[in-house]
Amino acid sequence: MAAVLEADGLTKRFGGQIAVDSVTFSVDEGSVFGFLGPNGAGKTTTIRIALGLIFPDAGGFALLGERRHSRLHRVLPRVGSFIEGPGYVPYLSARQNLDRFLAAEGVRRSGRPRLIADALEAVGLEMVVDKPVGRYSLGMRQRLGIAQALLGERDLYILDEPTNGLDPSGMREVRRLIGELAVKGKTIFISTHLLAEAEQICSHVAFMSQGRLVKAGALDQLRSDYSPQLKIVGTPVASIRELVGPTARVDGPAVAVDLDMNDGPPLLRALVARGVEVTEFTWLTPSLEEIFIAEVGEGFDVR
Amino acid sequence: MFVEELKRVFRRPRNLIILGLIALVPILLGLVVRFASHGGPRGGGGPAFFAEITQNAVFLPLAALASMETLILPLAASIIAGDSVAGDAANGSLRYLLVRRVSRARTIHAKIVAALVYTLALSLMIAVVGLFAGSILFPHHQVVTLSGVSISFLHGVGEALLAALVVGASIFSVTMVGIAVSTFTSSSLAATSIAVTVAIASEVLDAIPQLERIRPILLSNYWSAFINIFRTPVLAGPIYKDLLEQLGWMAVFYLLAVFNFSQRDITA
Repeated sequence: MAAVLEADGLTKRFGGQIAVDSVTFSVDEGSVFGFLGPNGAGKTTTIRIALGLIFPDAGGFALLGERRHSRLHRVLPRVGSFIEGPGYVPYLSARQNLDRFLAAEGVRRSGRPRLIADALEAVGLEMVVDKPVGRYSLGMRQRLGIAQALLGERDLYILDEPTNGLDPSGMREVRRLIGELAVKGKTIFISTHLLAEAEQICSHVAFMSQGRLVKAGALDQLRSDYSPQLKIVGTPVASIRELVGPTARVDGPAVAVDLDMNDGPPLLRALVARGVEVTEFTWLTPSLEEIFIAEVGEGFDVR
Repeated sequence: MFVEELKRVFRRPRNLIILGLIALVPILLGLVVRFASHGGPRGGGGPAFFAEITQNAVFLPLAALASMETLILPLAASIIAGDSVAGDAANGSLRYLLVRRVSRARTIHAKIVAALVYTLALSLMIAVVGLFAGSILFPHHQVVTLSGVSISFLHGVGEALLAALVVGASIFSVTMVGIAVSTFTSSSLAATSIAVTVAIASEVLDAIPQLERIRPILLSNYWSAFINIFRTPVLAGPIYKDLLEQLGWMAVFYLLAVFNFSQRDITA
């Protein structure tokens, strides 16, 4: 599969402070790639470099195969982006703001109204298209930002914290939109600090912390790197503990143990042979949050 | 892109209010001179053309231009210029423009053109409104130029409009300073303040006799050159010097604006 985004030793300093430190990763076509980390981890700086807004101090970035900043304009029309919140001219309406962006892109005047209507409809703003954006609520502005990213057909969507400031139903809407894009085969690169949200939509993830990329890969692959946990519920508990050994963690009638999956069936047979009445025997996969904490550590240290 | 940028500038309520307020000045000036001063200012004091306002309609816009050129026009131009890049940076739409296909060079050029057009619109607004108000309040027959020669009223109107263009162009240097500073900051106010300060500093230095040697490079040095349009024949020398002066300042700050905007990190 072709890589649509490639960072290669990307490094950026602001003043003396390092914002992005030798970051290397690639995003495959068609994936939903979660770029995860606390605020201040370097996610937005990486995204701005990807889109040509910031120049890296070292390393390179390829956006849809284009490495040279002077030629980024050739691939940018294939990218829809939402960067660190919405940006709009407050005294212009939603329609006028989106029209301005399309004009900047060179989209013909005749083609703009339909693209604008589609994008605003997708985020539920079709009723307020002519109201000055400065009078929008926070959530409406966020929706307008997302509409801006959705304008026209794109191959790649780069979304930086797209659900910030949205209420739960708005967040669900955004997840649905991302899901629809993914079904169409679009590549989505989404940065967020909301791990539960990422877990619901991402096929791949990368963990950023303090400017460094700590871990990256397919979510399934990352999960399989962790020895799965087995949850056994049954009576008597003492017999279960005796069989699974001292590493078992007991929580009421449930016993949890880290175990290789291959050792599951023999254990179950042994439990039954011992006369244990087993009512639950379940493999628990680690949540994204658990993996993140295992890789990055507790606490979101913001520098 | 260029059209969109003009729309951005001319659709902004604040910018329209500035144009409207500026249009009021020649009207108020005409009313005051017509009804409050019993026959017009005497003794030749005040800005250029003040003493001539009552003589002919075309002198009202000229007096208004002369009185506003030193502060109000540079201030109004600085407000728009200072906002040109910094305003979009502050509201966040700059990054969304730049991640479209549009190049940074094109973006900054569109902003420069829009700010310069607005600067011209300011002085033309004064001239057009001044001519209308002047025609209502004062005689509009043959115009006697500063050389004492009579020209037709229509000829005088043409020269007043030409004077407005020259005055507008005389402010271009201030506009360009504002745009250049605007590429360095997300604060429109900071950029506007610096541009206004440069204009005022230039006028202050221009007034110090001991600094005569540096006068030719001050951006405000030839600001009164437009007066020479109303000589017969037109005394073009000072006007050319003024325009050349403006070109020099514009070139320096144009290069600074384009260079800085092309290679700076857009973090706003």
